Amino acid sequence: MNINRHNYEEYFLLYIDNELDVTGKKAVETFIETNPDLADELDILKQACLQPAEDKVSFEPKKQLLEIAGANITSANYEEYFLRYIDNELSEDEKIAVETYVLQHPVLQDEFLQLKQTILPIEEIVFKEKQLLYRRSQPAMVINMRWTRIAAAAVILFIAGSIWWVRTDTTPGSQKNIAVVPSVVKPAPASPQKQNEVIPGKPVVIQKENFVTTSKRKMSDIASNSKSIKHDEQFTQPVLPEVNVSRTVSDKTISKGNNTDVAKTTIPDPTETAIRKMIDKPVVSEPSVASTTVNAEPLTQLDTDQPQDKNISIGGFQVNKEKVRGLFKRASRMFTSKLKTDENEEGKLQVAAFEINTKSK
Amino acid sequence: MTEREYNECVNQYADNVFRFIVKNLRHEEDAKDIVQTAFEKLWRNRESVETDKSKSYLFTVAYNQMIDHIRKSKRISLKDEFSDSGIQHQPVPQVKKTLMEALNRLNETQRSLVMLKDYEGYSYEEIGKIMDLNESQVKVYLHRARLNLRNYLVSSENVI
Repeated sequence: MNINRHNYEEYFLLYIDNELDVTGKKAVETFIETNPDLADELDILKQACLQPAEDKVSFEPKKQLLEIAGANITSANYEEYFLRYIDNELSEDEKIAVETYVLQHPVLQDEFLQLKQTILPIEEIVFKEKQLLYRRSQPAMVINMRWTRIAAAAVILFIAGSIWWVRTDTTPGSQKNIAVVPSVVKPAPASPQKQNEVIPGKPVVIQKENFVTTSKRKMSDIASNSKSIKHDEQFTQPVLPEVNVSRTVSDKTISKGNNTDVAKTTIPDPTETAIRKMIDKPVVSEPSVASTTVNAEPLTQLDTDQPQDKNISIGGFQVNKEKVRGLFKRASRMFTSKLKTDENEEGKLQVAAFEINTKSK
Repeated sequence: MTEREYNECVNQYADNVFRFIVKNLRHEEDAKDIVQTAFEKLWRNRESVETDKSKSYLFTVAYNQMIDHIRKSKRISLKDEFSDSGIQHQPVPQVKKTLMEALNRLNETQRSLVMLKDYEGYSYEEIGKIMDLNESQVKVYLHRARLNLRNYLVSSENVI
């Protein structure tokens, strides 16, 4: 290393920056001894360097940061620990540290207790209407349609169809027989004198009271079998005596100007001869007896028709219609009640592989 | 969740949910409606809700329903006293009464935070899931609520 008065400044800067090795530093120091006038210049350069020991700066919050990281409770963070203690968000060690800290600092005990008082006490409030919240789910009900049930349904359908067919076939005939009844049952209301009046040599007038009292039971039977059947213009043979009798009276009642049902009754011409024959037959002169004998004939005939109406012929068997109807109603009731109980919550009823929605949307 | 588990939830949590809502709204009938709505929703979604999550689910639904209800009707701002419907049958100690007054002075968020923490014992994380807040928000809001309660209790006119 060759240091002279032309390049010493560069070596002096390297010297103060501590960038020279030991040989270089000794060479610089030897140069200063041989040139003492340059020693001051080296001192000035040394003083331009910053000395860390003289500018020592300490970071005061550094300790506080270290304490938080280490979960140590201090006067700066105790409130945070107190709150987390109250919220039960501390570990067991941290809880013990808080309790210890509170014991060591009596000044903070009141504050700690005050914060603890902010914990809400358990308050029991009961929701009384839990019944509204309970739920019950029902699985879809499946009705197994075995072959016996299918066969029973087919039989019921066959019987119902047969009843319908028989009824449509027999109803007109029964109407013919029963249609006369109202004309017999409802003679014209006559005045008391006329009711009791007996014309000599002529048939006796049928009194309504006598008829009702003597044949009340039969009338009820008739009414039950022929509720809907009213007057029918096609008269049949059994009612002819009744019409005949009432006609004899009508001659007199019409002449007096009384409008009665009997008077309005029209007798078909083809039966006129038959009526005359019936008139020729001896008639009992006693009114009460006459009424019973005259009325008994058509009512008896009506009564004899009833067993025929009750029975129907199905495939050669005589079946009581009332029993069949009752069986059919019972089956429909059973199915309806089963339907109501088997409906699931969604309003669907499953029958075999089919599902029926029983609720309208 | 089965039907039996659902009905068990009714037995276990109906009172808790009702307490949470009725003390927030201070209106019993509205609280009942919200509780019913929450359980109705749980029933409808029972297939997707796990049994151990049912309580949080109920509180979440009920809280959201309550917030919607508060937004729709400002009834809560019209009432100062929680004195209706005979829910409190026993004489209330002074400390508790003062604390309830302080609780009623909090906003619904802070009040819900305090109740979920103190009544139900939920953690910050769980409360955050119920109320749709992150954990730090729960912590800050809850501590703020605590200090408000403390300040009310130690204020000069409410010295215990």
